[in-house]
Amino acid sequence: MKFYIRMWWLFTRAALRTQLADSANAVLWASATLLGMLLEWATLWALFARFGSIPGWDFASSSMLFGLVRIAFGIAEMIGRGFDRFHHVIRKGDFDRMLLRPIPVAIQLSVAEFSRFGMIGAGAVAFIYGCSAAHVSLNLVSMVYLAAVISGGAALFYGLLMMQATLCFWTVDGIEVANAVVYGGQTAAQLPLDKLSRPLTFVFTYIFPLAIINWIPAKALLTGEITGLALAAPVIGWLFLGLGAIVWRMGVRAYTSTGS
Amino acid sequence: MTSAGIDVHSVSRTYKRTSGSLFQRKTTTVQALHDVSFQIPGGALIGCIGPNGAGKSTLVKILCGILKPDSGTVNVNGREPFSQRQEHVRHIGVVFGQRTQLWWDLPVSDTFELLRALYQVPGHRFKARQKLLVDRLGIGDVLQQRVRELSLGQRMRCELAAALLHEPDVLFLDEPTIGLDAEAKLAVRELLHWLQQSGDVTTILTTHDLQDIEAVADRVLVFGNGTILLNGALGDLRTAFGSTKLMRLVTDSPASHPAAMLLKRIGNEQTFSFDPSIIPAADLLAAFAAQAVIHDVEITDQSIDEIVARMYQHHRGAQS
Amino acid sequence: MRLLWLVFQMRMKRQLAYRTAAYAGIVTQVVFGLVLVAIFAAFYANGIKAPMTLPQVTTYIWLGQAFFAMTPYSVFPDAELREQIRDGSVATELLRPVDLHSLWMARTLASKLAPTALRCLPVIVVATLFAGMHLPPDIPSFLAWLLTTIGALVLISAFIVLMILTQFWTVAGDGLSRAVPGIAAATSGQLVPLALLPENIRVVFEWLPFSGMVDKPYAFWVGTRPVSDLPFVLGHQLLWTVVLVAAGRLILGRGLRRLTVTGG
Repeated sequence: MKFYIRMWWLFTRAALRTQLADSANAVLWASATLLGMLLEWATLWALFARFGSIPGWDFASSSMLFGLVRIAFGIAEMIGRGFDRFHHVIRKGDFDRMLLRPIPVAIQLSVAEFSRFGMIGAGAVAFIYGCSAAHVSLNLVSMVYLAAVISGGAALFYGLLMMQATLCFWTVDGIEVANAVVYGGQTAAQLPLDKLSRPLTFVFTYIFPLAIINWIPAKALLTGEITGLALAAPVIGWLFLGLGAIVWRMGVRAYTSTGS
Repeated sequence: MTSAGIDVHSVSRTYKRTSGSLFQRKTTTVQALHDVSFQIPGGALIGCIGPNGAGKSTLVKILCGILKPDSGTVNVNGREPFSQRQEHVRHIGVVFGQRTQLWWDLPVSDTFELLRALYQVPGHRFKARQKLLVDRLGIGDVLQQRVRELSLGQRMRCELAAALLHEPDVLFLDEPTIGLDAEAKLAVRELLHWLQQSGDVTTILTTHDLQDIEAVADRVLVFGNGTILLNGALGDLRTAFGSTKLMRLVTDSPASHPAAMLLKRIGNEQTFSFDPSIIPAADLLAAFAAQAVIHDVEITDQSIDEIVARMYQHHRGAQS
Repeated sequence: MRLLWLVFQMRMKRQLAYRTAAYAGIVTQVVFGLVLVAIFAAFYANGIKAPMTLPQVTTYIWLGQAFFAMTPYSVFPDAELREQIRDGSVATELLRPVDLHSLWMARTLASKLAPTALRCLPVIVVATLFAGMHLPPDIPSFLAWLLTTIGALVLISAFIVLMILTQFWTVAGDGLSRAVPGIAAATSGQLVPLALLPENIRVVFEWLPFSGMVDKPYAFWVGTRPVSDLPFVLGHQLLWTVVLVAAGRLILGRGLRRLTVTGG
């Protein structure tokens, strides 16, 4: 295990060195990403400015949702970019190359990428604004809970990226749809999903558990009541990652026994 | 060093080709390897040749552990590659001529450092090994350069060094000389020769360049349609398929003989192929001399390339 | 011209083979459409008067789902081309006796049109029958929508080719292809119809190229834009197409020169 962590760090350091070779550019584009995110946030503001708040949700609490999702997804993308662009890895034959190295492929694909800082930064700005505007009192318990929720959210998206990558073993045909789910999911997750009809709420709570990382914990932070499903939320995120890892393993196994 | 070598017994492998979408797909089965068996003693250098799609790369993938055979057993220095992949790949070195295992954006020396960590080579051992390989391959000057800036020849030498740094007991080389200039080719062959002499590494070399094989291989496996057409020394190849000779004649007028096949004619120059066991060269020449005035004559063996091409043809003929 | 048409057809054929993606895409878009409609319904339940009625917003959202495959941020179509540019092997394309930019435009057009053609009708039918989408108010509005949708397709293709070309500069291109989707999504109207934004922001977004890809055509269908605006909208699309194509050609020229000088 220690060896794997060390290897991960060495790979990551090598990758970061390349990415930061042109650091002026890297910073420039991270800021452009930040700008794009803030623009998205601004459209959310425009909606609330025009229509006022809807029962249970106002701009402040929606900003919390927006921020939570971006932070979680940004972290997942930062260390899971290899899974996100896995169809390139397969198509170029690099996957065989990875199988020939004596550490799990998942570690090789988890090499970190710097450029997602813009997204995480924008998420943090929105989230902190949301918390202060909604007068969320952050004490030790809620801080710990928040950290757990963010890790659970990142785990959820990471699991999703793994499943998306697994699809590529059979077909690149579905990659676009998987992408739409991942990115569309982000957009959907910044909205209060408890305003949906019952079947949709069910889908987003239990099948594709986006609600688990957004309005359920956000609600808990707002009300200060961290109980039930809200308490379980981070765990569910991690379970989803476990599911993703199982699916991924099956995919690798199938790839080596069926070839391509 | 174990002298176990490689033991492949009755290995078969099919691919399923699917076309169409998830909902309406057609599946065709392609037999990539059919009941293939052979042994390679430890430390030997074996050349694999065969037309594209004959099963060479499937075999290499199976021996590397990244593909599982449908049936049959594989043993590489006491390991079963597929079931122990992660352990197995720690002890093998692989070079794909078309792809790089070096980190594209990093200096060569950084790549070597990463590989050292990856294969957990102890520091002093690594230093000695690296120095040895760098000297042998003459890549001391390019160690600080980024991989993307290297010429193909320099890169291939670095690839070889990278594949050998962790002292693998088996080395797989897939088209290592493809696209290289004469000098780089020679450097690769010299290294292979050295490896062969040292006898520590069992090497499998797949190539389309028969000169590679002529230069270094102990033995050759000829693949065709998923089976091994020939497993033996290069000389066997000649005796099995290369019994015919070529006769080039320059005459004042066209000549012919029923036992000699005309291959080409350019002006007064004709080239025939003939089988000396049917008609000795002297008799054939006498027959031609009776028909025309001979200005020049030359009798040669067929080149290995021609023999192999004929062998593939022969095999395909037997199939259809 | 014949060659471009051939390339276009080949690309279309290839994309149309991706049936699974189309089915799954339709389902995905319907689900997200339902989510968005529900959220807007919650906003409108407040009874505030807005420049668009709820049925109009609903129709707008469904158009966004039906034509999502066409938008520049759905998925970049030409992954191979991007990689080719990155590793320099695109230099071999120079050997072809064609104008590269036009060739890539043709390819991109086809790879945007094909998935859209497969998906838009089912989504529109389902949404109209079951989910409150409305048809255009009259024939002229429909025709205006159709014309500007074609204009949007060309504009989007010009934009995508430009994005692909930035790959000549690895770091910059990478950053750009990540920074742009957010900006495009926010200013095109995909997230919120531009008519619902505050007036001063709306005016700025109207002038940017992205509104010509989404909001402007949709507004004709929804009926929030009079048909008399047609020349203005087409002019906006044409102007930006010309600008993006010119920029693309400039970058292509410089990129290739850079490639041939440094030797790939």
